[in-house]
Amino acid sequence: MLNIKRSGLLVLLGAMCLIPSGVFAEEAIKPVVINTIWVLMAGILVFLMQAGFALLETGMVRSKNAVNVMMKNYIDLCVGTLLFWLVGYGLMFGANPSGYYGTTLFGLSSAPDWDYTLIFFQIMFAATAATIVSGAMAERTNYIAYLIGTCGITAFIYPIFGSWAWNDGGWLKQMGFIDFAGSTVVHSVGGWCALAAIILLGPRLGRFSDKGEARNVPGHNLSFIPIGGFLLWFGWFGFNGGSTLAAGANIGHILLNTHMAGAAGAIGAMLISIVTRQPILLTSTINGSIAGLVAITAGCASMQVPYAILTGAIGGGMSVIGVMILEKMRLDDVVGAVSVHGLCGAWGTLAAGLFLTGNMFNPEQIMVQLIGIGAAFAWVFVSALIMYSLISAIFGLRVSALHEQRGLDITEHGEIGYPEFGQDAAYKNENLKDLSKL
Amino acid sequence: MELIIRRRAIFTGMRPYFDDHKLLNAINLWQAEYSHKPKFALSVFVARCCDSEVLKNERAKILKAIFMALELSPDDLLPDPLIALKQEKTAANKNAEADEAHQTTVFIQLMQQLFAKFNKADEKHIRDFIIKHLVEIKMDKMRLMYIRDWLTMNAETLEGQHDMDVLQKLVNLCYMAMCEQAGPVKADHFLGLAIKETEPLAIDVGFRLHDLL
Repeated sequence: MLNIKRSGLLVLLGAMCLIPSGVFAEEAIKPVVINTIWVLMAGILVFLMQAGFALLETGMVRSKNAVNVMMKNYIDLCVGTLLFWLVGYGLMFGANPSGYYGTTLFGLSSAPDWDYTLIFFQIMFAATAATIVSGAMAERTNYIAYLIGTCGITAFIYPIFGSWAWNDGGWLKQMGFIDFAGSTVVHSVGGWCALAAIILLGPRLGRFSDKGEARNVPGHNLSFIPIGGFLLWFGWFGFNGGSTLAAGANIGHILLNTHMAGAAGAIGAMLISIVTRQPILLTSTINGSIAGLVAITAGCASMQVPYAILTGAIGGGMSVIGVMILEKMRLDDVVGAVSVHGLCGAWGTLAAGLFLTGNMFNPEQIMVQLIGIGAAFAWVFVSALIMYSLISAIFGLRVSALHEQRGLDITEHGEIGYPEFGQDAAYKNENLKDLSKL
Repeated sequence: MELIIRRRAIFTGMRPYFDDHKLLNAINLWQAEYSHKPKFALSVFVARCCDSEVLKNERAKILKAIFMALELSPDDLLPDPLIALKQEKTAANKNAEADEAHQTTVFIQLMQQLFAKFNKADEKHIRDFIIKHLVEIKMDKMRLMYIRDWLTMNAETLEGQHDMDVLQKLVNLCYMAMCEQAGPVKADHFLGLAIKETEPLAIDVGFRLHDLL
């Protein structure tokens, strides 16, 4: 015990030695510096969510598509980052006299320090909205077509809706719409884009029998899924906590609400699985916790802890029901993104109005929330449907059946995710050189 | 001058500069495109035949040798290369036929291994699915009929010669049918197993199985 105390003290002293002595002089610390450090740290946490998405989605696909899903998660961050800086940030946060889109701050090269902090933080949000789509479209989407879709989302679809809800001049913000960290602005936008994409893509070969029964297509590595879930959860503390844009005393409340909702989401998903007499799957449990986190994102700063738990639990339950509804509609969402991000994002935004501390169940606030949810669906779903239709007509959104047979790792990237394993697999590393070009 | 004598003269003039294979290709080219053209077209012909740096440097000499050979009496010319040309074509055809026979044998084996993974009723569904989608594959009616018969009658042999593209599409149609019938996970598994079971035959006949995939 004494040894533990001693070593803890040594670690603390070591950490203090690393901090410049000027920091301890109270008069030297400016609030903007602390705020900057907090928002940047939060942005770095949100960046880690990309790794979470990559692991979660890769674990849920077959091994022959693992490289493709990883690549999509990696590259959409890169494409999204550049385009959001160039176009998206200006559309979302530039001067917005019309209330519908920003008109300044495009490709910002010289600005006050605080603006750099904001762009860095917001880039991570834009990349999150874009990457939600990749999992839903997995195992059958043309890589280049997907990337073009990512460009459309990060440069136009996401920032335009964002300007309505988060820009000071945005028409939804002016109405009093509450979406603190983006249940709708980030997650529903990603979810509704995914819905448009999977409608156009159609299901994977054999996902549904000719009688319409959904067939389970288990992921190749279930261990990736909880690791991805943990990383997402960890990153969410930055996602919601950083959205204060200031290092305030309310961060503890926000993070506690976030954590509670995530936990309640997993329990909610589990309870719904029990009630509907379904097995308590790892995937639905992890998705449940993410659904809880999505749901609390809008109201994490404005509702009391018990309501955050309720919001998360209902979100978790909805994620399971949402997947069942989509399967009934023969829509193939590989990772449940539409349900987890789209539906639960909408629920969370409504909950932010329902459980608003000091103004609970206010019909006017609820109406504003419903208008925001409806506007998000209408704008995002329709524009994504048009965008993906155009991409499909020009480039081809879906790969051929032969590509699906070979797997996208080979056909889109010319490599195999697990060359040393799967000796019974149809395509091995040594076969790559023999395969004809498609 | 009659065609055979001119062919022998071209052959005689070019002989010192080209190996057997290139020379026969050159004679083939001359016969097809230059035999009916005036003499000065031979310079273009020689230029087309000289595809390496060494030959390009010899172009003038080759052309001069051809013109000299064209002036020689038939007794001084080498024998007609047409016989050698015909022999080479026959050998090439035989090799191609043997290759096509091997690819068909391996294809049939692979498909039979895939069909064997299902019970009779499911196998029939798969065969029907492929037959229904045969129209999506571009091929003449005769070959289409051969394939339809082979699928309908569960025959062990497939009549006719079929392009690799066609066979590849048939395997893919079978994969799609297996996905519909058993789901994508089992389809991948069955395809992997069938490949493993067919590989020894493919190695025996020297055919690359993955050309069908």
